[in-house]
Amino acid sequence: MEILNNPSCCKHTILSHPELVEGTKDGTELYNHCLRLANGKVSVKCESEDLPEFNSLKSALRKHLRYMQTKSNYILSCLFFVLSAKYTCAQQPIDSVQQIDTVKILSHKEENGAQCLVAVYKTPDVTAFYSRSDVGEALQQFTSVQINSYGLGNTSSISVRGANDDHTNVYWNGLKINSLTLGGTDMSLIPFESGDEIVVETNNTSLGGAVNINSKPNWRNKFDLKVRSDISSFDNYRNSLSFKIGNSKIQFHTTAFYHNAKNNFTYTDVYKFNNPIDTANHNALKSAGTVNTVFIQLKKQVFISIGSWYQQKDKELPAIMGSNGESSKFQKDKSIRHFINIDKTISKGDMHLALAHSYDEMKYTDKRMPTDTFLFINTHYITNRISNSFFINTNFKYHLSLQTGYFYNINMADVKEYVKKVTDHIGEVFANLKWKQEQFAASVKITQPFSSFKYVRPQFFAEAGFETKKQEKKYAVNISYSDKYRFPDLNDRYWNPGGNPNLKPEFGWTVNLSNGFHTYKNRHSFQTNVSLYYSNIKNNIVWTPVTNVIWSPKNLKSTRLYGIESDAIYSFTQSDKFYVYLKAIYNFNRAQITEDANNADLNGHYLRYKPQHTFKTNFYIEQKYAGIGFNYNYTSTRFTDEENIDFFELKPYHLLDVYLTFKGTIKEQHQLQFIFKINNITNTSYESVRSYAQPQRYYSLSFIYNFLKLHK
Amino acid sequence: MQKHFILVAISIAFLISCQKESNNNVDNYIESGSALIVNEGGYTRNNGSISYISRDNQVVNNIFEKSNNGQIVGDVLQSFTRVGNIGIICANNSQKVIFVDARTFKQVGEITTGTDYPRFALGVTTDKAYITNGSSSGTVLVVNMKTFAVTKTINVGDGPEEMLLSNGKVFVANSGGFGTDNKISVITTTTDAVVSSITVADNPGEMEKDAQGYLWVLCKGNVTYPAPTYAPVRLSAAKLVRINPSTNTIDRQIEIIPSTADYSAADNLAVSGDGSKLFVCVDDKVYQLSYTATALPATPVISRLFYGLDVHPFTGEIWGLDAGNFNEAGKIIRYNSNAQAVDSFKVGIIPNAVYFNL
Repeated sequence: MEILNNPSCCKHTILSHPELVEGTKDGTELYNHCLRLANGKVSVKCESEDLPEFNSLKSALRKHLRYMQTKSNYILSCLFFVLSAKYTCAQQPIDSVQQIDTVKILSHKEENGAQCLVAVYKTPDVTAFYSRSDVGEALQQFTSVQINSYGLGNTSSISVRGANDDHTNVYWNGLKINSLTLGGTDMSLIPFESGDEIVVETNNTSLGGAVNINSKPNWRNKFDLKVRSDISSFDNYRNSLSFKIGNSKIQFHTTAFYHNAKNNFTYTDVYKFNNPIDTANHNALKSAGTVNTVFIQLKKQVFISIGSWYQQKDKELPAIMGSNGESSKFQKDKSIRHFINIDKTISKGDMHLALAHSYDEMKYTDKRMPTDTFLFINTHYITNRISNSFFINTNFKYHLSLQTGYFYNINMADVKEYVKKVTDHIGEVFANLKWKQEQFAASVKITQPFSSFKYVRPQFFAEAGFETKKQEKKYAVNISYSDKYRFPDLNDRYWNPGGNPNLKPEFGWTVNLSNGFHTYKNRHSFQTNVSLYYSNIKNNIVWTPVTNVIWSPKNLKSTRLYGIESDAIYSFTQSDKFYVYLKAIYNFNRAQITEDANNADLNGHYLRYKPQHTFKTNFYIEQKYAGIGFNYNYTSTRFTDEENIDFFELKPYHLLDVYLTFKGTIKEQHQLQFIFKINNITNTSYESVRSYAQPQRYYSLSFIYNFLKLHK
Repeated sequence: MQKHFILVAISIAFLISCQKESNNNVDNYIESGSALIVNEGGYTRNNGSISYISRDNQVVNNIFEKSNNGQIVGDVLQSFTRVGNIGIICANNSQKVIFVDARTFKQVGEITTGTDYPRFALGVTTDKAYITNGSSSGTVLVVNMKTFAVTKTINVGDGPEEMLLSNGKVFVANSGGFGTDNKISVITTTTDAVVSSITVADNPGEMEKDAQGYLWVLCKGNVTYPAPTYAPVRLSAAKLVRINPSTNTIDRQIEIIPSTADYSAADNLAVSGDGSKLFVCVDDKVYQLSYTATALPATPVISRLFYGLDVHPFTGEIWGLDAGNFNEAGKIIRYNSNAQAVDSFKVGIIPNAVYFNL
């Protein structure tokens, strides 16, 4: 697992595959590369979530679905590997801050067809020490993104820089995987095995930001087998198997996982009189899935990647805290996704063609009372998304290049509440002119969105950057302006009753100023990044009652988001003997209502679930075969209603996880690793989403076996 | 000069803090003529609350939390009732009934079993209360107000809601819950047993007693949400039904929404202090009826959507409860007895009912 820090791109990336960064050049060079060639900006930040807002039962359902999770059937069989091996410990090579191939990311994002080089700094498998099952957990721990979770194994939503979850786009190899019906993304449904790297960025046309989960080949790989088994408190078992095989022309990756958990943890119920200790019942989950990818490198500079992702998850949904009854809510989610991406180098640049499809199904049922014989809520969503994009990048004289292209999505939904099956067409055409010199870079981009239902004016993006280098020290600065917009989601437009086909898109703009500094000397590496941003969003869509039983969405609000994102990373490596890694992230964010067409009293109030301060620290120290580390997370007060009533705010919390690692090798190619982790060691009682219990102290044990063979 | 400035600053700070404190310094929530507002809060958000509005119009929100060291009262508060000096709060999604000292609002008891869907409470005597419970097969819990224990469970119809006490009998409106019912159960308070059942119209839920002692029942009619549109469709008429409590018979029926009408809602039955005027919300308008009326007036007195409605028993003011967008604080909008808007107060999230201290 790698952490990618791209100071100039301002992207925080997590690489789950160390092989990607092996055998590389000097890290300093990589950094320079990045500074010169990156065209993004960014970082990550606080999330919050739109919590369910209901009144009538119908509205309750409509909004609640945003945060529900699913349960599903299991098609994949359980993979549980108990490996016992006699091994001899040997010194484990530690190649932190060792440089290797730069990873060229051809961005397939619909709003940004640009290329970007990302520097890779290899660290020990830091993120792996976090007993993780999904991408959301890792993002929360190692980036400035804010994840709001409905409890262990339950739905979680993402927010970047204080924007709502439906303002943040999530892509898998260029395919947008946000819910078509609700707009947001349930991060708990994205397993860690879904990609090789995760890049979080904010400099695009989505209102909040974007998370890109990408699959990457290592052309030197001959055979790579990895088996991982995690056992945690509350009968929580997660097993995964992955192998990668290939040569310099073709690489095949496959991974499968199975997760089974009761998650019947105890917690302090602060909503009950005298705050008794309660147990989270009806909280079990089962999920299974497989992700397969083939990478082919043809002659004539053609690179093809083809992938598929199948997954099911069945989930019991627990009762809220304070409730004295049992829950009978279930959710089942199923996803099938495919993509094919073709990249070709041409005489004066390169081109990219992508075609992808996703099928998503969600069933949510609630009997309300376990003894009821009828389903109080029974909802079934089926959606399909077909995505196509193309762009061509041409280099000209005078350090100029022009990128032009389009993306096009066909969105289809079969939802009984829509009355009929619906199909929407949306897309963009764009042109991006870039200028890059030794120390300066600038670009201007014009995008024209189109849709089958609303016109959106052309979107404008501009940025300029400067970087300087003196021996081992580098400094970079970048300033940008970006228009942003979001089309209403399908529920907003088609839900019956109440859907509003006349909704306008949400739109806004962001200005961003980023600074990055890096120094690297004598095995010591230090880098720091600071970004200031200001965003304004208008036409926010809000569901409001039009009668006592019918709600309808309207463009009612304007909001502003501003703040500072900062991080600092220090690492020290002494060959294979000693390694230290320390990362600190601090974010300040203000997310406020600037105008509410229905209630002027709300002007200036803070948005729900947006902490003003977050502070995260990751520390790890390792000597030879053993290491110790911790992850610390501070999240400040969050309001849970727009009135900002202090009695209902969520209190700040501090979370500390501590872990120990032991590792060794057998005949150099067989690597074994054990991780023992104490989660929430201070036994803190806290809430991420109001009313939903989180586990206090619990334990996890992970076992990882890796067999790796590289081509010479 | 600097000293003066500091003195002025300290004085201002003192005045501001005094002003805030005065809002929180109510130590008796049973002042005659004052009101308690039930704010149900957002579903699953545990942000229900009780607001207090004194006779001289001071508003204190979150009085339960203030009196119980920040302890949250519950999720989706349905109702508040006072029996002597004990207040009863039904929190339906928390599946509990809370008992407070009505003067201080400190919690003194709680029932968490047999309360899967608690709705309304009624003081039968100062020692005994009834609580309706259930979204389908319903019960009435008989509660000892000294020990806060359930002493008996009475089976009634489906989805029992409001109750009225008259002539030693308690009339229970069986609303059907999430289904349909059309009966009023009659319980005698001496034996706590159902002695009779009155068939009214579909989905009776709210009841008031008029100046002559008749019981008025608001029957909302049967409404379904059929596929494929899931838009509401009315299957039976909404009616006001008048019951003679002495004979347990229907005395009068007023159709307020015909069964053939496009969907519209009937809700929020209220009565003036002297029992001479009835108020009901139909299709987002408020209509006023005399207790002698035989039909719904053609013209509403107020044209506005309210989530709850009540009438001050002393002043005759109409209190309309506006839940706003259901995320923000709701409002009480007061109208004089001529239905002219007078003023408004900001209260808690999703206000749904008013309890007036007599």
